[in-house]
Amino acid sequence: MCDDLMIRLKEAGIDTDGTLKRFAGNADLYEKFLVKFMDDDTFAGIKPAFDSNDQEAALNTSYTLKGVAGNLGMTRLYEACSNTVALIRADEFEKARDSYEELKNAYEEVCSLIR
Amino acid sequence: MKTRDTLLIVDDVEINRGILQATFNDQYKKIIEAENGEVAVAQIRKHHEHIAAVLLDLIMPVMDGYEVMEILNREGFISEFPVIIITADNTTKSELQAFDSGATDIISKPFEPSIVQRRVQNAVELNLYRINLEEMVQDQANEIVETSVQVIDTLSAIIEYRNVETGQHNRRIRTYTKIMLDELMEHYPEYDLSKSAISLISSASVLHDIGKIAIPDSILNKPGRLTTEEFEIMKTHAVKGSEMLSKLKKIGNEDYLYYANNICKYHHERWDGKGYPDGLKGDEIPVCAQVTSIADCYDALTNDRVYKKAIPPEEALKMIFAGECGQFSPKLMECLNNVSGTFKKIAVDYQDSDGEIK
Repeated sequence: MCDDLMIRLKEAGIDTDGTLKRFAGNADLYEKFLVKFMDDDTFAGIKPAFDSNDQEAALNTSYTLKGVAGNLGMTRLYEACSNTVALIRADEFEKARDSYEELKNAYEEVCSLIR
Repeated sequence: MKTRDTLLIVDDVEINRGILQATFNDQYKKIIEAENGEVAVAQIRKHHEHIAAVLLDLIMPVMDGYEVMEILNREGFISEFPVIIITADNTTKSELQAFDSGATDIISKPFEPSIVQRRVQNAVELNLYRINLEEMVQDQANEIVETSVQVIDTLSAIIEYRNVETGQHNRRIRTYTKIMLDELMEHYPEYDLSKSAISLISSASVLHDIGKIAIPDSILNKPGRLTTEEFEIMKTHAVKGSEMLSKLKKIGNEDYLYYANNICKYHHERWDGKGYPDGLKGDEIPVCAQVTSIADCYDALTNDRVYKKAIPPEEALKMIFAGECGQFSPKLMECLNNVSGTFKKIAVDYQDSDGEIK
């Protein structure tokens, strides 16, 4: 069951090898945290931050998601978050708002894989 | 030394804490977690003696990593253990800011666990080594101070045994000097005296006659008047004392020896420039020597000496003010006048066992 998930993730471009090392080779732990990732509400905080033009909140939430995505080997999501963070930092708030679309797609893709 | 076996992980995201926990599970017996800066600071205040290292995220709700660093700096914890920043923020600016705030190292997310383990381990070992060295240096510094105090105590004891003057003499000189200096500090700020200087000068004052060790018994303890030739030999005790002290330079407290040296060398100088060894005049004479000199003079007058009997305090004061027993600064004489009541009490309380003070 667990192996099945790993293979699916790997095929979808997720860095499972690197991430497994981060969990000291413990695949159960990795899976446990993937499930926790689904429950984590960081992603849910990004859209409202953009909607209310709260630049700081948008930065903090996408930054936090970037760290988690990186640690869990979610390369596409990590890169999308990095892009959003960089745009907000560069004071390109409108472009950052546009970049949310890709961030959302990447997030949803990862979630569908885990489910 | 307390054992530092605890790792503190600070990150607002449970997943990140979990990954770090998995990374360090084998290396640390105790791992504690904090979900924001405020909790982290509370943990640190409570467990700081056992913390080997702190892994700190920068952006967190309630209190962020920068604020945590500020508090660690302010409360002095920053020198106790290494703080390693673990962040997804990998801009040069934020890394520099983290280093400036006192972070030992910065690791970017996502990280390679085996590398993080080594980097944290290096920081922890280096820190323990530093703490160990600091403790060793402190121990040795304490030992040196201890040794020099003993050497100086021994020196004072030698004078007491050698000289016909007694241990009570040293006690009185120290006390008179302290009282005079306190009075001087209160009324004459131009002498720039501090409490710590006063404490050093008054304990150094007992060494004023240390050079007398080098004076032959026949002269030192001669009842009756010295011949001109004998007096010249007697006078050398000032310079000889200062020479002896210069040999202690390497082991003693520098300020203490500075005062002791000035006191030995110049406690026979006179305000009018007619003293010895250098004929210094007025405030050219270091104030520590001036004060010891007036204290010594008062003590010599109010006690028996091989060549004279004790004189009552009131009369001794009159003689000093009339210039019959050396020349002193008007400021010092004014101070002596102010404290004459206390001086009289000390002269009585600490008198030599066979002395007669009325």
